[in-house]
Amino acid sequence: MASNAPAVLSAQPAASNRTPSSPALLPLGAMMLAASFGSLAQTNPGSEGGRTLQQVEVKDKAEAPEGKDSVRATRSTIGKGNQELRDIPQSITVVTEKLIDDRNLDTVKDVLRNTGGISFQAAEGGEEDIRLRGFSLAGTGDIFLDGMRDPAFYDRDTFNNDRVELLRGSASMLFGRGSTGGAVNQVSKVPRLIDENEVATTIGNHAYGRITGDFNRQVGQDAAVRLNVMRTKADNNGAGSSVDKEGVAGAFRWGIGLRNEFLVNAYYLNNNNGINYGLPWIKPRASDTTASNTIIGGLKPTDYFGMASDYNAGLAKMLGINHIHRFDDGSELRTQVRKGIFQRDLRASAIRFAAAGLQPGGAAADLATFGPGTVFTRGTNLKIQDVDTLHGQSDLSTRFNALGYKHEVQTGVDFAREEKTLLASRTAAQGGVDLVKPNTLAGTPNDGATIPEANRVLRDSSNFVAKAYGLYAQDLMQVAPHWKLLGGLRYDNMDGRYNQFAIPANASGPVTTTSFQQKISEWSQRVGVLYQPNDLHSFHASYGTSFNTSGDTYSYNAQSANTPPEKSQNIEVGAKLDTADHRFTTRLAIFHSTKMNERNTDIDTAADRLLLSGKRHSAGFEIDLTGRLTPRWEVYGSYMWMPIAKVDEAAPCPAAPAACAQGTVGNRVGDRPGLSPRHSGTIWSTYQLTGAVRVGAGINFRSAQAPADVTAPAWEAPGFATVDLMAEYRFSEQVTIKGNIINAGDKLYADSLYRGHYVPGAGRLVQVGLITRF
Amino acid sequence: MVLTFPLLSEPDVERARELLEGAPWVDGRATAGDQAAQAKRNEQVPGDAPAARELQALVLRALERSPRFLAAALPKRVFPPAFNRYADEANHYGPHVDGAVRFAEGGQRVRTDLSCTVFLCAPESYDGGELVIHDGTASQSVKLPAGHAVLYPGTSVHEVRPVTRGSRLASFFWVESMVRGEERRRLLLELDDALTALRQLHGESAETVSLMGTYHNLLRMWADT
Repeated sequence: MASNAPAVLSAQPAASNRTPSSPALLPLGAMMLAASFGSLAQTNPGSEGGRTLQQVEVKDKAEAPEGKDSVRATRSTIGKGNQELRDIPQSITVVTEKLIDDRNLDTVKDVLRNTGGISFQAAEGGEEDIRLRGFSLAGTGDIFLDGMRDPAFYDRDTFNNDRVELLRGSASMLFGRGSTGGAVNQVSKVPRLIDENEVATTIGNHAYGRITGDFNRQVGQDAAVRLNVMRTKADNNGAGSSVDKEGVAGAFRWGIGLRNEFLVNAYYLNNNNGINYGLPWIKPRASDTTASNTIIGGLKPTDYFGMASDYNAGLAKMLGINHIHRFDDGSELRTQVRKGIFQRDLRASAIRFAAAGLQPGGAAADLATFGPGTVFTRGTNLKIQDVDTLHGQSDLSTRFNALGYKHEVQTGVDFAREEKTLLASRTAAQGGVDLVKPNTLAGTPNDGATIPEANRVLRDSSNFVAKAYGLYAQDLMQVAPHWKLLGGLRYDNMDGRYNQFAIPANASGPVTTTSFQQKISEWSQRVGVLYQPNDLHSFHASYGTSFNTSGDTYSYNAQSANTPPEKSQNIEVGAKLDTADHRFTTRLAIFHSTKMNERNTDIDTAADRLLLSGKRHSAGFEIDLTGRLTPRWEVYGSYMWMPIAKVDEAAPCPAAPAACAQGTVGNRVGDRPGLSPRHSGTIWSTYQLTGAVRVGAGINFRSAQAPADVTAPAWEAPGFATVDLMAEYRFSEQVTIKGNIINAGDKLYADSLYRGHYVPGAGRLVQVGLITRF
Repeated sequence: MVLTFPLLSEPDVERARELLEGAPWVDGRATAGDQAAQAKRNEQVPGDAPAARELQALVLRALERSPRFLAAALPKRVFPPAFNRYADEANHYGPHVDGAVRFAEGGQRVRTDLSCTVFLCAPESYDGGELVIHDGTASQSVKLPAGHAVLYPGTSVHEVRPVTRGSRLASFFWVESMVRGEERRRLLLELDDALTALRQLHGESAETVSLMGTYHNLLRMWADT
């Protein structure tokens, strides 16, 4: 019998004469020994504590728990190295694969929608522009994959995610230049020493079909391979965009648990999706100001007014190699290198109301006149870019005693080369084509109109190359039996070069190149104190700083290229509380985040740099609930209450506010910045009714929030709550059928906001999946 | 030799689960050596908890009433049964060999000739959690109905596979046998079994009495009381 394919020994019912109830004839040994052997329990109640001889370990197979096991997580790799969540003095939300599967979360954006404090900007590129605590995340490159920056814009799928971690607050200490709000880390699935396969096939309305396969095979004593595959198609994602994507992720890991462990992985994701760029805000009546702007309630979430020829194609290819060296004293050196190649080709239509003269009755569109005859125009928005990345980092985790204290030290170096090339299309006068998109009517969504997108003639528009390196060290010191102190320092250096290529408006050349360069050298710090009175409770207070450069957005202009970084700080007091049985965790925190010197456009056109005079802060309360209330009842909740979000200082404005960028709402002193809802979060709960049947339900909610940077008076997108339902029937250990209804009420709501438009969230999705494990 | 047999009655299993539900669970690594702690991911009830005391007595009573256990283990001393749980993150115990000698309170030593695990949860109530016993090149994977026990040589490398759904409760303990060698215990059990079967088929005879003498003489030769 091969050792890696153990036979299952079933229980052999003993012969009837040997059962305790009918001892017809006892074996000799039993006859002799009944009630006579010496047990030590009666006289010497046993305790293994303290005096146990050390067990002989054949091999260290210490493996991280998998995200598919539970919605609760206790460890994280977000803080560099591998740490207990209770030892990280900052708010962290972990969305495990269990929750991702339970709620059918196909994309990282869907996952993030299931955490408190997140909002989305409907950005130019239609990408995942995520706001956390009201501060931008994606724009500053604060999305990570396995602890390394994953800066490209692509529609991230969850098929290879074990979990997604969200660190709130200043993150520069760990990740280098970054935002004020926090960081998102996607954790990939890794090969494990077990033979385990799972295939999930899901079908749903809008001709949705998704199949994922997760195949893990042990191929040696300490080696394993894992392959994850995904194919998804749908006419409509519930919000008007078609879905057509495929992905493959393969990994080989060897030396698992040994002194030297290696992992190589390759990742491929190809998106050929559609794109719903959004719908314009509408006034209730012609006489209203923009303060009354709202969403077009008469439409369905799935109504799509873009061109049938619009698309959102994205390609992501990554190759990585990791090495872990384990020292005799328990120290660990982890080194990772990853190469990434990304392409994004977005051809979208920005939908706006046609001028009054084109509308029925010649009146500008408002809710009173809105009807099937209302005319929409379709603008052209292109985002065609290639991103090429190379990242490497080496992190050392070690623990030792010095000066009478226990120290847990993390230190490391990282480097990055990131290159982004942006392409633009030529107009007919520049040697390309002018494609005219026909108008459409509110009564004819999905009209199928096309234009020949393939005829566009592209040219290089700009490129950006950033080279960066960083060094950091942090020490978690046990200073007293229940007290730990954390201190950390990081140095970052970045060299960014940006070239802009312009051509005349009416000729194909010559090309004028404008170049900018910026060098940044910056320190970040974090200090914290942890009070851990016992295994169940951990309280923390922390202070951290971060900075983000104007080069984070992969473009420069004459002003931004010589503007120093924005700086921010985060103060947090919080706790992590486990129940006595360790099955349920509550994490909560009160935070205060301040951006000290926000970039603003200088009103003095002669100035050669942006003003760093802006200041704003947000403060609130966050709570996460994860785990099992009873063995059958599992709960996940994440909620943020942010009563305070305020601009404290702004650049001075000239007399005519309309001409002043600082005059837009969210940038003036006293304003609440856009995309900062007071309440946001989710609650999800499942109950195991019987061994076979499990049911679940959840709510996602966000209170009213304004888009960013709008000209006064500002308006707010209405708050919303959507309901999700799930039921699962387990036929056997191998076969499970699961049904999900996402947004059961078919609620129409604005999910991503922009000053000119909003993108509706997905309407009702009904999905049924068959999951087989073998 | 890996041997399985029913040990606890249904009410006993229910009582055990009830007690464990309310027991104070601690990280299993608390009682493992530094090296084992790296592979050990489970939870245990401290040996001095009142629930543990009552449960130990319950399991020991059942052992004393189990002919199969007595015949196979020929027990000299039984280390007080302990109780563990595998669920959530604390869901597996990588391959390991148990320490050769265990110290009970008061300095009593128990040589761990045999290991025993008593399953306390219905196998369908959780996924994974098989006890895999590696014996040279062969492996056996054991997952038993609630109340059933498995007895296997303490010398073997064994592991508990990750529990991927639900939780796995079990009692585990070690036995020092009067007969130290596993081959000898096996021989004695085979002889015992064959003899019991013969006596049941044919009743007592001169031959069975003679064979019974052989059994006792072998035991006399090998046993260490």
